[in-house]
Amino acid sequence: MKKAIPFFILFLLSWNLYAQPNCEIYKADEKCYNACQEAMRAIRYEQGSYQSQAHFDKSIELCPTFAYSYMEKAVPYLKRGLFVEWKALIDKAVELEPKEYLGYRGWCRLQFLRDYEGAINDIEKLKTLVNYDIGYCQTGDYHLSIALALCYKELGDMDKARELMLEQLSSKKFSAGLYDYYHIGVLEYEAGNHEKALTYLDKQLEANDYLGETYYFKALAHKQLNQPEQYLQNLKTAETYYRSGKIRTDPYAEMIDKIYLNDILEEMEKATSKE
Amino acid sequence: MNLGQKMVYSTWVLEGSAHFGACHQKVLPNTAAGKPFGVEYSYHEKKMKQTIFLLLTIFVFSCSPVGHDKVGENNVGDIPFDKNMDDESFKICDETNINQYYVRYSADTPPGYQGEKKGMDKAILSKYSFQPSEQENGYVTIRFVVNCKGETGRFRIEEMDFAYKPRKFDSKITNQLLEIVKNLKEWIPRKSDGESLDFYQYLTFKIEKGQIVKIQP
Repeated sequence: MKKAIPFFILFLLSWNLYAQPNCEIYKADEKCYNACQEAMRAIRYEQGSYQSQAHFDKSIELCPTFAYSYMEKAVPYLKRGLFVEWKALIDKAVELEPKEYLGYRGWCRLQFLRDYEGAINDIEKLKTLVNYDIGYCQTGDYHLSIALALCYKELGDMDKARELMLEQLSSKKFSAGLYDYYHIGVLEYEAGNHEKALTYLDKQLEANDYLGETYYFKALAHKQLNQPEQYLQNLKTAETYYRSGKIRTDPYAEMIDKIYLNDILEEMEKATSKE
Repeated sequence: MNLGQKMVYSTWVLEGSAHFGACHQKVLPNTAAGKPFGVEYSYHEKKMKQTIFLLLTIFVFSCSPVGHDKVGENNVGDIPFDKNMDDESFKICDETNINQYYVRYSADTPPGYQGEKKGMDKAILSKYSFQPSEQENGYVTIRFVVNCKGETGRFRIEEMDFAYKPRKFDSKITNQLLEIVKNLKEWIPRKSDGESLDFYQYLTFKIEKGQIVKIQP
């Protein structure tokens, strides 16, 4: 059980701990300083609990311009499927501190609601507001430029998605994320560029050989290139990986380009029936 | 306290529940310091003991584990039983320990659906049918409880447009979605140390022109 604790802490960190504000910087404004202290009290309670929400309410009442409390109060609504309530609160946080929360709201719209247009608007708007790196999504899985590219990809604008991904991947200040080459590989597969897809999927394996999904799409690319041996071999590897838990998972919502065991098994049936 | 509860408490602590930590250093009545059995107490001693007992009782009850001291709509997303809406035959296994679907410990078996999400999507999409309509755009979210036997109940619906504002869809859409969700019978409860636990789940349907284009989460 103890071994599981670091894993669990990491999981919680991914969504629960948005950078906490430094209350000391509000000392000149007593009400906002107290609002910040109230928010610190709120996060001592279970997220979404009556007590926690009540402290956030108090915090907002004390200082209606304290964006952090709107954002944090909104989080349990997002996670629990109460999106009208979430949006009203997160909009307030964005209105007060757009540079801080636009990227976050955009990522949430993509991940929880597949609101691609909304996510694009938020991330593009952020790009116009800052002259520094727009940063990563809340889980840390993607740079926001990659998230933006995924939105365009899902809307079918492959050229724009490719352009954004390649631009980000070629940036000297950027190291590819854990899943970036996977997604550009899938993009090229879906665009019908099977050789390119294999190139990127192999790059993905070099960077992170931990996903059954990568082998699944490799198999599909080999199938299109009429390479039956590699097609079958990669499918088998995909199944082995999948059954051993080497797959993409997210406790909150399905990830983009996610595939399931039945996808592999259905394809395996096609592959073996051709033999 | 069962293991499942312990795990949830861990979640709270790690989510920042110093309140919980403090409260569990409960101050128990120091019985060893009291008078021996059979010894009479004076009036003042009795009053003092009563006062201490009262204060300790208030302290201990005020320090009940966070979230478990109040059952109801106090916590975001809770779905308490409503006799006007809910099926009385649907039983929750432990009303005080219904976790959200995403709460899990690495040693747990997470909740899910037979055939994973793909299987569930297939089951939904194979039953859904609505004539294309330019007016029917937005999201329908159905929240509910999956009990420790994998049965579902306490369904609640939230509808919104693409601007995240409340709206009403054609009732043929919402009624149909509700019936389909009610008939999803292959839920897998979360298991903790072999014990099945209840959990809250929601399904969000992204609707474009009356058609389901995505099911989340």
